[in-house]
Amino acid sequence: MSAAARTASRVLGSRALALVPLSIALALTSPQVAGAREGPRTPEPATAASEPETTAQEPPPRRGDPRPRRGFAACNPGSDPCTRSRPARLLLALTGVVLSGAGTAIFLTLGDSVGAGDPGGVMVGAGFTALTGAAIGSIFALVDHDLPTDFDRVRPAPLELGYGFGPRPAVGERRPGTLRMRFAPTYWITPGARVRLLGHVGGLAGEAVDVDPRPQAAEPSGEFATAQRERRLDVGVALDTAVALPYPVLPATRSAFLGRAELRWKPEAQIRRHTYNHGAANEELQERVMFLPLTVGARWSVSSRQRLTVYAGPRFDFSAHRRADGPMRRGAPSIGPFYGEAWYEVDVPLATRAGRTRVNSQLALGYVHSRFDGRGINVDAVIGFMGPVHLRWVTRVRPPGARFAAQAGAGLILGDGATVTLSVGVVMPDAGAAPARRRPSSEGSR
Amino acid sequence: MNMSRHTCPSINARLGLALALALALAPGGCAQPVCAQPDYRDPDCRVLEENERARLRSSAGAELRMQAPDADATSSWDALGLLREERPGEVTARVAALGDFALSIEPAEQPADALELTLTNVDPRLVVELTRADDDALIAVLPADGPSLRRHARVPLTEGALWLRGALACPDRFRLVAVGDVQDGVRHFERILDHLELERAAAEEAGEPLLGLLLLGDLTDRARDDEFRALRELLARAPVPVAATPGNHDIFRAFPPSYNEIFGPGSYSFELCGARVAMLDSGSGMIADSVEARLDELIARDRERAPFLLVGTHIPAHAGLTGNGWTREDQAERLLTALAEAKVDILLTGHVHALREYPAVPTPYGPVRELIAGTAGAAQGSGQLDFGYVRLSLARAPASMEACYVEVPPPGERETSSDRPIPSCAAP
Repeated sequence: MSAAARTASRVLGSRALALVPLSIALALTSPQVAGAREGPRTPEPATAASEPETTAQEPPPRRGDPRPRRGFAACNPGSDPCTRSRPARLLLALTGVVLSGAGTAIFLTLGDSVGAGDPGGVMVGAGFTALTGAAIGSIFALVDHDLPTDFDRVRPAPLELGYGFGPRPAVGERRPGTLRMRFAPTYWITPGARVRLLGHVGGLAGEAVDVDPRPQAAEPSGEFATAQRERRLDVGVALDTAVALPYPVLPATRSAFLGRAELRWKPEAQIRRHTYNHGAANEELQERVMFLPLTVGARWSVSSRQRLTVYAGPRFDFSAHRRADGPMRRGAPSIGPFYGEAWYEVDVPLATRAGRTRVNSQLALGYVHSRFDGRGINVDAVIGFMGPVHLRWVTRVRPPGARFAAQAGAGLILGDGATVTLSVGVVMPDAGAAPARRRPSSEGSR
Repeated sequence: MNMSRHTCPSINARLGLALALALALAPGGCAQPVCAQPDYRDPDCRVLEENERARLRSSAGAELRMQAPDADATSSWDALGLLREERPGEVTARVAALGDFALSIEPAEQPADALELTLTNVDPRLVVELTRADDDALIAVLPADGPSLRRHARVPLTEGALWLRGALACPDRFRLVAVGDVQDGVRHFERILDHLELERAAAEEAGEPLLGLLLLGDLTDRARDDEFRALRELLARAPVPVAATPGNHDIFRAFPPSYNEIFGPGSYSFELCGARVAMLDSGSGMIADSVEARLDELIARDRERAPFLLVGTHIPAHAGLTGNGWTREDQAERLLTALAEAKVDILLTGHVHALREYPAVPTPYGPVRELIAGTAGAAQGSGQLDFGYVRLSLARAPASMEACYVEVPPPGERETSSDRPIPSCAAP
């Protein structure tokens, strides 16, 4: 079976994506590769992966055992302290099944009566992400053997421009895409704790125009009349705080060495301003605010290259409205639907040779339990319960010795159709604690 | 060195491929008219469909158009009903609105002598008159057939353009009932319809006649044609006219537009004895963009003439108990804001298979009262079953509206005494 797994990894390479079920089975059950050691290692100095991203310097040689592992529960090659990614992924998959099952049970029990505070949707989405992530991760592990990730792996670019294509317009309509300037500077408080200011400013890249499909309201030319025009401003800001837990959390003799973990807190506010126009005298402004002060999260680094990140928390909505030149009227807050996110990331180092341009990529699968931007997965008569699914690929390119790197990505958002997204960004050094003293979790903060 | 040289082009190729893929997936191709290739899960396609079905060119050589009751020109029409030609020369018009209605009949060149016209879903209280368009001369009065909601007329097509108008002599006080979510609980819903006969008789006796049923979506479970047809047959037994709007279980198939074929419009509004009633098709977790743009128009009213504003949707606009069942949250928020600004009296919804009330949903213009009445028969899980309907009692002078709940328990169960968000009505 081990030989089969190795053969699969050689032959299929990245094309193994097409063989998800088989690969999961292979990865979760493949026994030993010659030369791997059993059991956890005692802690040693930081590995390359634990170096901060800001230095953009070559890491010291890895001191973990770089040889391929053998047993299902063997440590990852080069992991130090030991990380047992195969059992970790199995546990992740089982957690995904349990979460999805529990969330589905909540849906089935409550049906359409699922309340704003019920976490069923978040659980289904997080469970789906965990299960699918474990599957995808297993496939990649067949190829990369869960080797340590590169020190310059993909993280949110401190400055980025993103564009989401709008849907195809009908005759008379305009469906502009969404353009957003995003920022994500990071400040390291200590080597194991950082805050990242996440935010964006943008909106519709033009005026959206809807038509009225009533034949009797059509223009004399036969074309449908314009129903309304909309401009939209999007603003969002969040403070993502991450604190790495010690690894292993338990004493080495009692730890299962299933990967590092972080705790997170991400207070956030999102604002959308819609300006509707039905003619010069009929302009109106609708402002919606989603406030998420208590969003907490966790990250589980299943391996150096793979990690699951989840967030969840209550949501509070505020609404305001203004007609033409009238005063802005603001409403009282109300409790919104429970908010949640789940992301599974897989690092794919493409070119990491010393002294050369470093090229790192990352595949991310995410579920966001929010329909704040009007996107959601609707299946059959199950309408209005789930948020969108995100899939994206980001690549970072850093010339040798450069303090700055470039990052570009493409993605797909599934929900109320499919939206293609593109992004380009600049990676700058982080701020805060001196890199030499900093040691974020090796399966690292992002 | 060589490796590096090989790596870079490879990466560039991958990036190029990714970009090409993204561009290939990006929207492109020729722009087509809205719903030229219809997908009836799109609410705008249903708007187009319901408007197309509100006019008909009959094989008898006349064009029939559903009109607003106060319309006086035959050049346009409104999605206020459903017109079907059952057989050549025989047209059925289902009136979607409660109360007054109008239908224009414009003969084409060389029409047949007459057209057989059957009206359905018309209150027997209505005085229905056929008049000539050019001089308002009365051609015929269509008499009611006892308590039946059907009228029939042989419409002469040699008289030029005609108007068929129904007018209701409004009482000072009247009742409406509202309920949603039949789905697979057709048997329970049948009992509710039977109970409405008692309600109608009791209301008549109390001097506040029952003028209609607002059916708040999820009329079927799987949006199948046979389910819609069965429900149409069932509703033919209703003692009062029915104003319906679809729910998520009624519209999730791309084709055909079964709801519109059987019930006509899903988004429309009408005035009934001092109450402006707007039914909004929210089955897709959103309303049509074009309906969103017309919201103000749909809920507009002369407050002197229409002191009440009632709005019916399937999915509640307030997140409360639905985890926000609207995929387009912006539209839900905009609807609540518009309703508050228009001083809505009540937002009636279904979707949740229970009776719930949110008496003060916050909006920029003050609170909105939202009442969920998804108790028409759809499965309610393992808890205490509660089937029944909401009764609204409206009085015009002084203007007042009261809501209470009438339970119609299933066989084998007596009336439950569970706490309810609104009072239980006195038994009819």
